[in-house]
Parts: sequence; C-alpha cells; structure tokens
Amino acid sequence: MEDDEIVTAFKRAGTKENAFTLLVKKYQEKLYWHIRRLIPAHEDTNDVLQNTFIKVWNGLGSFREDSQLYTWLYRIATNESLSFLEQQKRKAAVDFDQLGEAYSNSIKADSNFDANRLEWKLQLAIRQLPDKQKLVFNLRYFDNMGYEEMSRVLDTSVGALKASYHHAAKKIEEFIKNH
Amino acid sequence: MNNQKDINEELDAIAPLLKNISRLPVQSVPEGYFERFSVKIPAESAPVVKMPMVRKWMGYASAALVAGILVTAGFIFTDRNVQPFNYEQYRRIDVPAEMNKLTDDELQNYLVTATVLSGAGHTSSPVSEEINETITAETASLNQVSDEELEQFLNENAGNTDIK
Repeated sequence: MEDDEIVTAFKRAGTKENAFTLLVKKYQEKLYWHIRRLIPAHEDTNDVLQNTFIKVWNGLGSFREDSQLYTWLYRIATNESLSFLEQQKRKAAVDFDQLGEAYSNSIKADSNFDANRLEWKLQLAIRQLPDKQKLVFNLRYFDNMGYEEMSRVLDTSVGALKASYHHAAKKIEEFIKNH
Repeated sequence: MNNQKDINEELDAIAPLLKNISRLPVQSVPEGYFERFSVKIPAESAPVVKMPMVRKWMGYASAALVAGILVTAGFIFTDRNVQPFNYEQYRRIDVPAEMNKLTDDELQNYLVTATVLSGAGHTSSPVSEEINETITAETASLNQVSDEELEQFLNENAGNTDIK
C-alpha cells in the first residue's frame, strides 16, 4: 500500500486501525535503525520508537497529504531521539565527551561486537560526532536520503547539510584509519 | 530514495574508504523483535472542550457577584454590635440639675477617688503643684469664714443655679 493510501485510510473511522498497523509494519524497521544509530541501547531505542509511533497516531489525522509521509516520520523519530538524548545528558549531568565515551562503551558491550571489522569501527567513529553531524551522516549514508529531504527533516539549509556531511565523512574516515 | 549513486560519487571525492563498508546494521536486536513489535496506543483522552466567550464572562460575573455578597455580609455582621454614639442623648442632660441631686458624701467620695486615680497627690509637675497650692490656699481661706457668713452667702445665691 502506498503512503498516501495509508494516510487516506487512517482518516476514515472504519479503517483507521488497519491503516496504522500497515504503517507500523512498513516503517518500524527503518525508524528503529534510525533511532538506534543515535541511541545505542535497544531498550531505549524501543521506548523512543514507541513514543514516535504514539505521536504518529495522534498527529496523522491532521497530516497534510501534500507532504511526504516518510519525511514526516523521520522528523518525529529524530525529534524524539534528540529529546531523549537531551534528557540523558541532563540526568547524567555529563558533558558531550563523557557521553560519547559511555556510548562507545555500550557499543563495545554488544554481543556481536568485533573490533577488527570495519562496520564496528564505523559505529565507533560515528559516536565521536556531535549529534547534528551524526544525524546528517546517518540519514545520508545509511538511509540514502537526498539533501532536499534531509532539509525538510532537520529544518536546515541544503548548503549547511552538505558542509556538515562532508565534515562528518572526513572525520569518520580519519578515525577509521587511525584505529 | 534513489540517491545511492550520488552518495557513492560524493564519497569517492571526500572519504573513499567509507564507500565499501557494508551499511547493514551490526548491533544485536532481540530475536523476533520486529515480528512481535506493536505500538501501545494509550486510551483516548477526554477531549478538551473550549468554553465559549459568553459562558466564560458569565463565570467571571458570577464569581464577582459571590465575592460582593461575601464582602457586604462581612461588613454587616462585623459592625452589628457597634452602636452609633448618640450625641442628642447627652446634649439633653441638665448637668447642674444632675449635680444638685448628688449628696455631699457622694461628691466627697468622687473628689477623693478622682484625686487618687489622677495621682494629683504624687505628681511633681510644676502645673500640678501650682493647682495644689491654689486648692490648699482656698481651703485655708474658707476655713477662716464663719458659719454665719456662709449661711448668708447661700441665702443670697439660693436662686442662682449657674456654675461658672
């Protein structure tokens, strides 16, 4: 089922729940990984994903159909993830470097972790980036998102996004070469 | 999302090492997580009904009315036992006539009590001393007047009730 059909079905009282179930099935995995790349622990990611879909349930009725559904979903998931990260920082009262180190440790604690594999080095390198650069890099590198779409998700100009992505990619490559 | 070619060309230019790394997720996820995943939608919360402007103002007016009644009632009940001062009642009193009704003993008692209460006998202020001296001198001069002279004075002033 296409996104616009899901939205139309959601707005009809009789098909609302079925449409929502279809939407969850279609996007749960993509959104899960988008969140998980920002928040290392599965349990936290699951909580943020739940909150994301609850926001979708509450807001989809007034969603304007001339917008792209997946851009809107990513935007909600991103905002929920950033709010969660902010809360974590406030609760722990730690600075960015300390939090980055804690996240790196949680990556190393994963049962699949293999320090020699490039994929894991990539994960560790991404953890070193500031939140905004991390987001830009993930959306483009893992989700293949175009700059225009990213601009709608992150409310940032295309020029700034390109600069941010380039900086992030260079930093990551540097990290991998040195580790 | 057909940007894969563009992204790879971009990476070739800025960070070629990243182009050949697998983008598949590496972190572990509990088995069957995506199959079992469901969203726990909270029960519908009661809709917030906005109060119309007229009802809003009616509410304010009712509150003001109740406050007014309470304040007025407060004034009425707290001032209930305070009687207004009746000047007329005191203006009608004939002081000389009332004084004439008093016996000599009552007057004597009053003078003794008033002197004690005012502390006239113990005061050391110059004005009080002057008054005391005057009273003593007058009392001494009255003692020198004989009973006959006093009786004659009273007979001559029997009709005169004004005290000055």
